[in-house]
Amino acid sequence: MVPEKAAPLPAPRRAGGFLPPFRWIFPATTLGLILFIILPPITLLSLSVNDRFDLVWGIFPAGISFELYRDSGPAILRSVADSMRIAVPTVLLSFLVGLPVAYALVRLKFPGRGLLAELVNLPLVFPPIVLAFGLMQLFKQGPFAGVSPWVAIVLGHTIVSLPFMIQPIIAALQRVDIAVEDAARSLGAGPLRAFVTTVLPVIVPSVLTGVALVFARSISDFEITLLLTTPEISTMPIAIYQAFESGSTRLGAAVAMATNLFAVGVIVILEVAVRRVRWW
Amino acid sequence: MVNASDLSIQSVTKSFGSNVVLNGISIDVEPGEFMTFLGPSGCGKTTLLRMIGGFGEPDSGRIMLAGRDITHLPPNQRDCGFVFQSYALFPHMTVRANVAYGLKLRKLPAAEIESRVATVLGMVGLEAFADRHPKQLSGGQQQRVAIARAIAIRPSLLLMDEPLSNLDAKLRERIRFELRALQKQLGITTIFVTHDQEEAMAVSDRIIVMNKGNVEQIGTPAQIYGDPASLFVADFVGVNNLVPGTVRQATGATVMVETAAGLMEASHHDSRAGENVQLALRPEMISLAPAGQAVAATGGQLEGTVTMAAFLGAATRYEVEVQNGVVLKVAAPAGSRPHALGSRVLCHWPVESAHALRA
Amino acid sequence: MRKSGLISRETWLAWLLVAPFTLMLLGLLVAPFLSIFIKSFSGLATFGLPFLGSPEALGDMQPTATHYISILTEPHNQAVILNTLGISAVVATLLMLIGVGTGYYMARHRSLAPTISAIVTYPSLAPAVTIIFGILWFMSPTGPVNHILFQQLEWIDEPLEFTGTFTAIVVGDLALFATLAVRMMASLFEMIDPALEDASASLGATERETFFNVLLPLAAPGLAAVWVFIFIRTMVAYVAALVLGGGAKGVVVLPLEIFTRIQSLGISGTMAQICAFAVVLAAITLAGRALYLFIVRRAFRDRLQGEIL
Repeated sequence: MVPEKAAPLPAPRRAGGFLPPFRWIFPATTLGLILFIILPPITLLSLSVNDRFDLVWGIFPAGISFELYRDSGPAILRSVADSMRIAVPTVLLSFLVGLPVAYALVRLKFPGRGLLAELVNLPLVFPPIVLAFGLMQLFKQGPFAGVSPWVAIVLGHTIVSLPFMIQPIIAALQRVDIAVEDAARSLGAGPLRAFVTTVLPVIVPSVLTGVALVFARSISDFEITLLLTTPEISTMPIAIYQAFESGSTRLGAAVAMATNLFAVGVIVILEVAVRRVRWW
Repeated sequence: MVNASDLSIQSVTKSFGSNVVLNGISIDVEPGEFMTFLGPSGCGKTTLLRMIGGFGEPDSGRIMLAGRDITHLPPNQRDCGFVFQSYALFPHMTVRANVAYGLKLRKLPAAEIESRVATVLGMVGLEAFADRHPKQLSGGQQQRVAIARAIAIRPSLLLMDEPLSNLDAKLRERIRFELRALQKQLGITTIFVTHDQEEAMAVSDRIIVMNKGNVEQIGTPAQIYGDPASLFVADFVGVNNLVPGTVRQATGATVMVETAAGLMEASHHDSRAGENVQLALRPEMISLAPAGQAVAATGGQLEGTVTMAAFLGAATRYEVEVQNGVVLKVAAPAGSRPHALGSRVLCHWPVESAHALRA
Repeated sequence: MRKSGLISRETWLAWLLVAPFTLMLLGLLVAPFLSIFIKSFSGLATFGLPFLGSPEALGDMQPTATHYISILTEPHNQAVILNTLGISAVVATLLMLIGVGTGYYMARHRSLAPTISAIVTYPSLAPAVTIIFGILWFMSPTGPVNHILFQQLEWIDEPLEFTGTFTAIVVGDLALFATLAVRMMASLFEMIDPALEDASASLGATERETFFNVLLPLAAPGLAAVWVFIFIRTMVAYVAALVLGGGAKGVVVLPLEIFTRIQSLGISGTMAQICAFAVVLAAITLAGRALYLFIVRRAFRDRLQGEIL
């Protein structure tokens, strides 16, 4: 072949000498996002530990004082208790209802399986306000009118949280070897015992993930609780909302921070438990 | 086809944390040469190749391409064609678009791009597949597209990172020769990385054997095979007998090595008396004669018993136990006189084939 | 598998296991919605829903489409719909862009990714109200933004008007859904082989060219899916609008409209009208979900095998 000149290299290109390198867009966006996420909560935090109303530069506390926390202590504890009184039964109910569904979807073949898989996600997709509206009618004027608001709220929370419990369990069950259950059966165990002794221990981390997700969803819930609640129930989001709306901003900030701490704390504990439980 | 460029790697060093991956490597590649980096995984060959291509910078040292210092240039300014182990074909583009990619970036006129793409696809035999997408192609076809894409830009240097390792054995053998022929036709300086020493010897002008970040030997396939510079090379390339021993006497061109099997003569590798060495001797360089038969007095000789004989068609493999448990592997070509299991034989070899290598 | 009659044991077992879930779903979600749907066509002004405590029977309803027509024609309602669609589109677009930036960065810097992910995940752990109030006070006249712009630098003449604006709700929704977008984008970019970017560079492309020629086309279906997903989420988002939207006189979105009407039921508006709004919202959401599934199933056909989305 006749030797030809190689094509010239693309000349080093820069779109405008004063623009920063293209690749800076990515860390810049990330940094911007991080600032956007953490600065507002810092404002709240400062508000809650400030000893007076004004903040330095609008964001830093002028002087530290926990007076607000002391004052709102009972209110905080009360809202935590109310939230827990709803969240714990929600978690339990989600587990009891959701686990069989996950099992059926992964292990069994039956007509309607595809439809069920879609229905599992329905509560996630459905607008919460419409759901809350329907529930409100159901429990205020409909057939369940006499039911205690606590029960109503737990049921409402459960229905929206079920997908969060079911999805991780499905993923975990798909990873477990089917043969394990069959082996237990062949050794004489009944179906329930086989499942509980061989499969359940193995999927505990995913169950804990589901628990964490359901818990987070329940204590954050606003719409459903708001529409089904009575004045005596004051979950954390409701308490925060009412505090801010009634003008006691600093109190609201205190309750908000306490709520955050509590929520993040519980979830972190659960996450750690998930990691620890992986003993195999 | 291109201005063939020479590549000069000068004292390149690279560490990852406390792990020294490249230890002061210096290599000169001739223009138009097919050079192979050969070595086990972890020896640094891929790191070095990627560094030449611009993916990763040395901690110290320089890389010069056709006299230009490219050490700190980003990959898109180095004029190196790179063929990746996973081919890295753009899945959303047709074969034609893949091959034309580099040409479009260089803003060549459309007619020229079309003609070059056609030429290059013709060279790898894939003209009929120009409008297919990568996932519609077999592994071997994808590999050829990757090569076509890299050479379409007429780079000064062609770099290939174990391009054949994902192919099955038969395909590998066929493509390696096509690759060699193509390279000769184009005359591009090429660097090829592999851990398969048979492949390296089949296609290369010269081979660089690397181990743990160091260059063990640079030489032609014949030199690497027949005249290993170090124990590692002797052991890594091909099958070799390795007999441990101590240098008794180092005079002139040969050394006398005291081994468990007795005194053995070997060619010199700067050995000194008293050094611990391994005697490397290729199985096919050992000839067998029935014990007692007279052979030429020059060269090494050892008597032993045949403990294994395996007829493999093109060759017969023997294992001969000489003194003190030392076993020599022997490969006798088809047609040579067979020796029965248990028979006494005399192994003899030319001195130049035995190498005393520092242990 | 022994068959007892037409239904196998396995089927019996499966249906038994899913019975509680199905009952809950039917009773708490499907049935009420059906009732709402029916009521939305009713001309009556009563408060109850069919089957759920309304005094009249099904036959007494006066079927009419006036409520839906009113949604489409009354200026206030039109404004609500446009606001909702507009905010959702803006949030989805912004989060898609932000998600690309942060998600790509996380995918190519795996060592930093867990830290970034933890920081960005924080919003989803805390109740939405907390985040929204945080933003409210961050942007308030006494907050840092106004403090710097107004008091210190004096770039503006009066404190920024924040609540009650379109922007405010957008900002609130951004904070709430950023986690989701970023996580989805990060896994999207992790699926793209880094060798493709190296290959593009070796052929002479700058980072910008590699991004637009290789990364974006490959990520495009995923980007579309994320856009639709965030769009739907924002459409039903409620807390941001409630707190930052400025109430009934400010910017109103569909969920908020429904809520306000519920609260003022005894005073103005009819149950049936509320039902119509609810149905419209649900319809848009479900349609969006169908679109999302369509995009994902088509784009990732080869990668997903029987995975339950």
